[in-house]
Amino acid sequence: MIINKLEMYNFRQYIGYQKIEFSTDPDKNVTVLIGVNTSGKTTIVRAFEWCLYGKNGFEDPILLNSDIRDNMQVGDIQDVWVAVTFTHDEKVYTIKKIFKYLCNERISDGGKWNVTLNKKPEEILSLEYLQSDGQTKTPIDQSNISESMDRVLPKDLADYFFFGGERISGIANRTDLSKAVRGLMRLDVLENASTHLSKVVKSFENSIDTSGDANAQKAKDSLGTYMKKREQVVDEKNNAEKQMEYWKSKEAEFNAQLAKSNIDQVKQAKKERDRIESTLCSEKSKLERAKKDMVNYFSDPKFRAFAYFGMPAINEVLRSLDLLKGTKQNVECVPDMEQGAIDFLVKRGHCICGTKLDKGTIPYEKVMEERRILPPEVLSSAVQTYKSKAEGYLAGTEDYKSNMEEKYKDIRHIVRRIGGLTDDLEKQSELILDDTDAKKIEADRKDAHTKYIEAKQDYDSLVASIGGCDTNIKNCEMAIDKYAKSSTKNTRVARFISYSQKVYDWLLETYKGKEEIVREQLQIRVNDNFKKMYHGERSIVIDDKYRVKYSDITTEESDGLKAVKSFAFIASLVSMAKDKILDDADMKLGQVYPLVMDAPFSNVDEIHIDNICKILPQTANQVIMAIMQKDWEYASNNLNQHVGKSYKIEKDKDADGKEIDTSTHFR
Amino acid sequence: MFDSSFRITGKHANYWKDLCELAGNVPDRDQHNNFKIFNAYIDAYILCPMIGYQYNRKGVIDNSVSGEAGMIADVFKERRAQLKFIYQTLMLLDVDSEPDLEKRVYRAFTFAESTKEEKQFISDNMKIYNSYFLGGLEVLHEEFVDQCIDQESYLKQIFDYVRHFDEEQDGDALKEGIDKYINK
Amino acid sequence: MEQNLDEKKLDTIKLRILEMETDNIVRKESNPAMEEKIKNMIMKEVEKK
Repeated sequence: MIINKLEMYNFRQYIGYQKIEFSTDPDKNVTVLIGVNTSGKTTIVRAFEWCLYGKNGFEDPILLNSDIRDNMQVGDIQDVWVAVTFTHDEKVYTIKKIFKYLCNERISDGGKWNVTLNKKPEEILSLEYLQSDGQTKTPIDQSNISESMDRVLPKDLADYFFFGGERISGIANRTDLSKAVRGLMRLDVLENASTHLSKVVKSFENSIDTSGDANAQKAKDSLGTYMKKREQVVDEKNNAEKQMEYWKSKEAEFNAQLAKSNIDQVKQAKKERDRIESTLCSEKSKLERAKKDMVNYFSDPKFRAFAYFGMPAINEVLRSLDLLKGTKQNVECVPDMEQGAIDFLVKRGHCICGTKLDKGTIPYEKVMEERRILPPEVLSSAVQTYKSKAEGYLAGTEDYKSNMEEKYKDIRHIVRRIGGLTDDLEKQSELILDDTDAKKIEADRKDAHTKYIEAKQDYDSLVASIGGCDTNIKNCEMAIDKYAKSSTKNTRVARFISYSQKVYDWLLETYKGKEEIVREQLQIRVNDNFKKMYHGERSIVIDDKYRVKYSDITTEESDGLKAVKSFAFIASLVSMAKDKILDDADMKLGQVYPLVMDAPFSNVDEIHIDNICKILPQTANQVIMAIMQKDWEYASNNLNQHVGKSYKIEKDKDADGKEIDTSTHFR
Repeated sequence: MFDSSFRITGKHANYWKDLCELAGNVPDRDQHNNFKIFNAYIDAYILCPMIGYQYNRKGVIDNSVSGEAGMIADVFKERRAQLKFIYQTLMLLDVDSEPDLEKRVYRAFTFAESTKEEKQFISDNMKIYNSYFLGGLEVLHEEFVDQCIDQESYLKQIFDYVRHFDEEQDGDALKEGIDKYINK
Repeated sequence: MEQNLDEKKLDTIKLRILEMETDNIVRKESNPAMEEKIKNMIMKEVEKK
């Protein structure tokens, strides 16, 4: 992930529309934003955090510029948004988050206006990427946005790439850094797998212990039921809560709409809506057809799913039939002769050599003896028929999987298109509002109010029933514990345990092996970086929680030293991710990450600033820092040659030349 | 064989209904209104025995829940060739009921049903076919109905199910897959 | 507890677990849900032919 640009609209003190473009030049990969205290440096990092991960780190949670806010009338709606454009895997994405603030109340408070906004503003989040033609923008499905962002840069790791100066010194001293390191190195998959599997082994073991005991079994069954019920009730409760909030804000929204209904753009929007609706309609019937087609391919015997899934079984049969033929031949019968041939000879009364074959004579008995070891004509031809049928069925199965894959891809494709069209339709519907609708809006508002009351009642009763479930769950668990004692060993479960245990051992071993490599590498790199940054002689050890420790005596360390340590740690982490320590292309690792920092050097000695500035541009792929004027004077010596873009953050001034706190611009 | 109506009761009847499109008058249709992976009962009746065999799963009618489902003799007509083929395959394979290979071959290729003994013989064989059918119903029910919530997840599961089977036929493909995840 | 274990089966289980866990890095299902899934998968794979 490399950040191309940040756009903000009425976000805190950044009034109106403002844009910063960041340097993406690999040689000059540093962008500096220089400002005095309280100018709004911290807000930059927070704008990133809010837009990308929904984190709101402000004491006053309202994001809307306070000038704009103070001028709002009841019913007015004002947008705040932040958009981040970034490059990931050679694609350019833009993520944009909008909050729509609605003014609920405006009270005069001794000459000052006190404006109250809705607590939960409507949020609109969109993520789109630029097609390779550099023009077409393709939106990503609403439901996939957070998943997509998590793939670009997992939320848990964001702390290590977007941080303020006050946080930097703490990073390397955190109690447990394993999560960050494992996540970044993709060790988490193996770790989670072994954690889960160890529980699975336990649960298999448990099932041996109690299966013989009826009471324990009963408790176990009800435990399952209560657990499921609790889960369900919690879901319902969360839903009810959402409903409550939704209807409350809806009511306010309808109120605001009533205040100003307009007729403009309605016709245009309606026309557009009709157009989208008809496209949507045809896409939907296309989807239905595609779904049917896929199910057909699975269901209809003429596509031979039975032969595809029967492949191992049929092959087994063919093998054993061949085997059968082999043993027959060992008995030494006349090759290629069948019972029918003997029957023919007996019927005509004499053998090929001319000997008479009368019943009861020795030649007759000899011939009949031979007949017994020959395959019956019927059977052998039936086997032949079966074989050729089997081969015919199997011949049709090679493409089964790839055909199914095609069909599935087709469906996914249509579904994405429908998602896009549905979003468009939504947008148009929002524009439609004609004046005869005033009545309808009022009815809707009343409806919203009633629904809010209903949702609240639901919510209250659901909270109570969660408590009930909790008690029941506890009782069941106690009962199981009490009754849990060994009973008849179940060989079936024993097999499950053997397999699980074996896979678990393998997972653990693999995980430990890889983890060791990561730890070793990290230690080498942190030491290397630390030596370059710190003027003294100290060496560093990475402990089992990936904490950074000095290998010599533990002396008091200053904040400055802590910060140096953290920088060494982060720089190493970033460089390891970049260098693909563990993986190949398939793992989608070997990623590049930006470092976005606010006042990074506030606690660091001048000499260390110097050193850090030498290392950072080389280890990180992109460095964005908001920095104080005085720190910049030191940093610029080493950093200047790497700076691709630089901005000044300045407060606007009023007519008297006084700085305005609520209005800041980039220059 | 495959020439008279077929009917099952209990748990598996419900599974069958869950997996198949329901035609005609089905009183408890509402209880089985999930997404269907089979167009008709007969389609499941053809595929499930193979799945049951693959998973080594023979089912036994379980009437602890009530349920009923069946097909009339007519529906077998067009599918007789495939049904017979699968029947033969199972008769050749099922070692539990007959350890001797030669006897299994005899069993697989004997269809006469004129005497009482012959009728009994075929009916015993059909029991094996049907127990694999029930086992296959169980497997597919677990794979699909128990795990899928919406149409999307059913469709994804169909694809995954086919894909997984493909991988599992080939030990090298499995190893490659593992390698991709942990790459040495 | 040591029995003859089928290597192909072991590999299948390994691969399926890795797949599920990789998927889950993003999906973030709860631990119990994942354990249940893995458990069912193992039972099925072990019983398979």
